[in-house]
Amino acid sequence: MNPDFDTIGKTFVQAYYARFDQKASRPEVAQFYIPGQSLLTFEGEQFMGQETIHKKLNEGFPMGNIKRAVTKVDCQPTADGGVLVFVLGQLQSADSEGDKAMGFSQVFVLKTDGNTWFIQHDMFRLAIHDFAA
Amino acid sequence: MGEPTPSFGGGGSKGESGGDYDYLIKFLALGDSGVGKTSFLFQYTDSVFNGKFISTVGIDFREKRVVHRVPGPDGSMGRSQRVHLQLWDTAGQERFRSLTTAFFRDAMGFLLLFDLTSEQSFINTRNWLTQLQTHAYCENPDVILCGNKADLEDQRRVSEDRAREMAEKFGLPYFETSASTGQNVAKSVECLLDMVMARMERCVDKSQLPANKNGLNNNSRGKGLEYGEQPPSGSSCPC
Repeated sequence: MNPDFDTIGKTFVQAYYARFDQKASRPEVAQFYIPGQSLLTFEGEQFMGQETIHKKLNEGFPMGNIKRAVTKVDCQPTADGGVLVFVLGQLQSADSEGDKAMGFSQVFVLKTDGNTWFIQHDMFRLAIHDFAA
Repeated sequence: MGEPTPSFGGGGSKGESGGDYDYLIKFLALGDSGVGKTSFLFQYTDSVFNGKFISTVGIDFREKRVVHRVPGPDGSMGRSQRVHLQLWDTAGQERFRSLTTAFFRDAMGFLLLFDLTSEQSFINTRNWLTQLQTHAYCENPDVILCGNKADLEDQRRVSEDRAREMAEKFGLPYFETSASTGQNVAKSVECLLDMVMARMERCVDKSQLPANKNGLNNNSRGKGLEYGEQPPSGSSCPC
């Protein structure tokens, strides 16, 4: 198990959201995902592979710049040398006045090829309790 | 109609959610991000009541008291009813496509907005209607269509004729509105209120209230509604 799991997880979260939250640099987060392999569940919808995920997070996500406050990041080393990351926070549209801050939680499983870290799994949910069936 | 009633109870906001009204009516504003839903509701309720935001449900709601007058049988001025209107707004979560279908179910009327300067938002009104038919309390709920941002005439991408044609096809009253100038904002909400109140009158008259809301779903699909016959936009709606 990787002893630096906590540093890896928290550094990753910073690097990821720094790109994601600016509309202009959002396409760059594609580099964190693995072609054909990475899995994303975004608000219950499933996406697989770098290209599909890239498309979802850009054309398929009508949101400009984001203001984000990360409240907590919890990390664990996984048995196969990866890192499990849980994020709790709030976000808000930075350029649309009517939009309010919303809570969210996100989970990542990171894995490494020895040099670079990639996202194997990514799950995102807004903390909205609408009791929808 | 539509004038705010004097506030009750004297305790500022205290009277807002008190029980001194005849009907509590919930409307939901729908449409793509950026079409002006929030501004529209703000225009309608401004300086009357403040909006409230429930962050855990991602829903914003504004409230307003209105007096609805029921036309008498001979067209004379009939009784008046005190209505407490709640206007629900999805406040940006539609960007994430997590549709709050629970709120669809609870709403009695829908304000479907698009942006007259955005063709895509107009095209997407069809999707919103489909969502409505699936998740609302019945298959043909009361809906009004509003082409918003009518003040931006030089940037218009959707002609009035085209919008009217579409509205007619789906049997919806259509308004060209501007949340910025207030054009048709109150008028459109009042039209929706008339439709919803007329539907309620029909229910009461025929004793066909949705008696057991929870048990109805088996036969509510495909059969239309339990609320009595159509036409949905009855004669009481002036539009």
